[in-house]
Amino acid sequence: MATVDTEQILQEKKPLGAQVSDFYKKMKELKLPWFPVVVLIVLVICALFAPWITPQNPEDSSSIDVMKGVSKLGPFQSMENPLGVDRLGRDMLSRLVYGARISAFISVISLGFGAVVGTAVGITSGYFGGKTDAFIMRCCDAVMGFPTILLALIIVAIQGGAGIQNVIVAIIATVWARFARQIRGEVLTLKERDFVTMAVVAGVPAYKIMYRHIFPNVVNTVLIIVSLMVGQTILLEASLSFLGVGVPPGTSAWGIMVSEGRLNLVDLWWLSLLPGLCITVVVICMNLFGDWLRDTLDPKLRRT
Amino acid sequence: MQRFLIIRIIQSFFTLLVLSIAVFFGAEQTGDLALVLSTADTTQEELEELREKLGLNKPAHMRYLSWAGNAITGDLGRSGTKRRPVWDMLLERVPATLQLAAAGLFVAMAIGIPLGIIAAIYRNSYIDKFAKVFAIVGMSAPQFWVAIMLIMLFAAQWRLLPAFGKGGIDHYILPAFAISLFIMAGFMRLTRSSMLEVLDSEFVKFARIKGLSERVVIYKHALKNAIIPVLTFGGVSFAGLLNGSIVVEVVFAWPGIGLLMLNGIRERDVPVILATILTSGLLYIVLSTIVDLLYAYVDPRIRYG
Amino acid sequence: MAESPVLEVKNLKTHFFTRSGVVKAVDGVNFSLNAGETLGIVGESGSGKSMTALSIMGLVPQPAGKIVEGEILFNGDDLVQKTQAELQQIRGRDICMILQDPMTSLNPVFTVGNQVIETVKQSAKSNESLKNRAIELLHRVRIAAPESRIDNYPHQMSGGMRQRVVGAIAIAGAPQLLIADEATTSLDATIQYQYLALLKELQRDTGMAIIFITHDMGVVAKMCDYVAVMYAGKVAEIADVRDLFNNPTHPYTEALMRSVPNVDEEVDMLYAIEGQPPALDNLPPGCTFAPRCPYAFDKCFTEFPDIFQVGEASKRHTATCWKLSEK
Repeated sequence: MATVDTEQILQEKKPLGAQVSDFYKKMKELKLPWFPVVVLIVLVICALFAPWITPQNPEDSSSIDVMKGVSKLGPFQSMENPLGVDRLGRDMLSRLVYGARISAFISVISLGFGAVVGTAVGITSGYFGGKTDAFIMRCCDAVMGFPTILLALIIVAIQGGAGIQNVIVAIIATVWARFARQIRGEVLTLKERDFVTMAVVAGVPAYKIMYRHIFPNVVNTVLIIVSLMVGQTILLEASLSFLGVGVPPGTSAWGIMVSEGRLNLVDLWWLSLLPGLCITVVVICMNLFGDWLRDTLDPKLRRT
Repeated sequence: MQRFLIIRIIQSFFTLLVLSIAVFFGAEQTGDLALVLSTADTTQEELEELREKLGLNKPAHMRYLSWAGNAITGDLGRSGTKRRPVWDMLLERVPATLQLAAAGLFVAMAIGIPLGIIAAIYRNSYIDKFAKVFAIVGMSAPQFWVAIMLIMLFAAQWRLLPAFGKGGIDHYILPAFAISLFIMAGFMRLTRSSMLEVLDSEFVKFARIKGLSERVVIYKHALKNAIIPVLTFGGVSFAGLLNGSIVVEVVFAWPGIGLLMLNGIRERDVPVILATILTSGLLYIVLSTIVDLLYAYVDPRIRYG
Repeated sequence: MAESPVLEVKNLKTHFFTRSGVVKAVDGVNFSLNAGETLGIVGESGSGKSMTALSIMGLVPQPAGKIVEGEILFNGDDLVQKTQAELQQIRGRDICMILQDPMTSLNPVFTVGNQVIETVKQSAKSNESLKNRAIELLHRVRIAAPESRIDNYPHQMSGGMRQRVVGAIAIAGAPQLLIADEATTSLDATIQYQYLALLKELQRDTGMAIIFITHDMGVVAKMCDYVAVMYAGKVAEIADVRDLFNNPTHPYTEALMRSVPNVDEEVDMLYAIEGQPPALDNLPPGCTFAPRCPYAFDKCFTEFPDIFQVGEASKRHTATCWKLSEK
């Protein structure tokens, strides 16, 4: 019998067909929730490639026939404007796609920075303990207790009113506390662990311990909290836009679009319906995806 | 229990204090009150005079203390844009918001809790699946959109209910439902999981062993235990309803503090902003303290423990 | 001794239908019990003791579990054939059960009195004061100052007292059969002793039959007249208590006896039975104990043993072991 070369076996690649079916099996094992994932992929594509994939420029009001007056084109009535047009003649579909971009942008940035700030605060607070910790936790409680829109409005007010930047800062201010509190709790247990004690004994400076030892162990929790907060963040951003304290009026953001549709609830019903529907579907998918993520990452958090 | 109450009051006072300081100085950044009160042809000198009169040139802590001193006695200044005493405006509006929030809570509990109980008892049945879907949609749909859709259907299309304003019971229905949807989903989920957990416990098993009828087992033994976390949630969420009230007040033109606050922010009306924010904060704190007290009362382990 | 047994269990099989297979929690259990007698059921966790008790009560967790075969004759009446409504009438009145942990058996948000009265209400005569009857019951289980204890909440009482309350609830309906599932396992040794004495006294006064489920051989020796040893859902050996201790026949019973440390002996190592009980959804063919049995031979691995009489025919001593077929 010929001797078998292990090297050869390790490097031998399976034929493409086998690879595909392996992949498929792995996917099935993971039990990915298909619908949410598809929707989220669509969302990401919209967000990233909006200018290239929209059928028309969302600013373009040319679909109005100025002679005939305001266009009353609804969804599924024309190939050019598959979802109809708004009061100013702008293509709904394009506006919705751009809206996806804005929602995604604001949510990602605010949640991202919120996570960073919250985690940093949580790690520092938990690691150093003492009076600073108590004070920071007290602040966290105060922030977390407050109704989110109220808090966001306060922050917006303090900054001087509407604007994308103010909205982002407001959302960050609403969101960081959740991270800080949870992470701090984990850090309290982590810092008693042996590998931390050894680092301290070896004279490693505090910031390095926090960065190299503690942080990697809390990443999982951070991801989990992010998954919990995404839906809420999108809703908050939409609500702020709706109230007129978010992005400038006229921008293609879903919240604003819903607000614009209020004047024509019966005759131009799709103006408010469609963007709101988008928000709902995206948040549902985010929540479902978040559930799946949590189940896979940590079965202990599984709910009934 | 008394000690508990005293600690809570001190904590709340502290929180309010911090909040008032933060908002006071923050709100000042948003706009110059003198500018708001003046018109286009006010001269620089008159502006300066106005500032002096309003005490805007005094050092920071003086400004704050004088405002705080006035606030405690009930003088919250005058609205910059409306020229009315803020206190009067608040007095008109706060009850409206509270009524809306109460109606919302009522609807949320009246539908959410029974739905949760039934979903738990008939686990995995069609009604359970419906309840789960309902909960997901309820928690994901933006409140302002739900409000608008409700108006579209019930007011605009079918003309069953009024579309805006405060009034009789029919004016309450749509806004209460809109404000309650999010919380309703929460109630349903919580009641369901709480019931499921309790139904699994040893004392429910023992109650069955004792030969009690299923109805007694569920409604007397299981429910009284399962309801405890639901009540806390109720209290917490009532405070959170003040949150949603802002948006719903806007959509339905409901004359509450939410609407007042929003307009204040838009118009940079500093006294109004301050007063409304602090009132909301105070309401929230008072409500959550009451909830904690209720909780301690219902659970005898805390009362006598 | 009554002429016909209060309880007769014939070939009881309770299986659970799960996604990973059928779990045979109880797989062919036989015993009978007369009035005034105490039957002990011993075995490791997972041997099916508690599930047998739940099957008798008609409280097998559904929908996964089901009594698939067998008869449970209570005074001649087959309980397996009864509906839940009929069983509910029997529970708490004619048959009662005490669970292991009194803290979780009692509802924390109701007073002790409230919970005792619940059961009293079921069997009370119309013109009787329920509260007095409850106080009387608490007195019967030797709780001091029952009039004031009635208004206590469970967490205000000690463990031993709580278990007595549970006992009071159990005897409120003057049951003919009382099942005690590890009732003393969570109690301190001295409290345990007092509780067992209490149970014995109640039995003497009322003539009720008791099934005592435990893994503690010492309790068995003190309390039981008649003992069934269970393993992997089946009865390995069943005998009068003295016969079981003097003449343990089934290898599993032998091993159990040996596992109980003797206070008077000095040993270097405590005896533990080698191996693990089998997974109940994947039982081996043949005798379920064979893989761990020091006496096993070929036949043990292929055929499940018959039930053999041990000793004289007049004694109620049987064991399920091929060893006996050679004698």
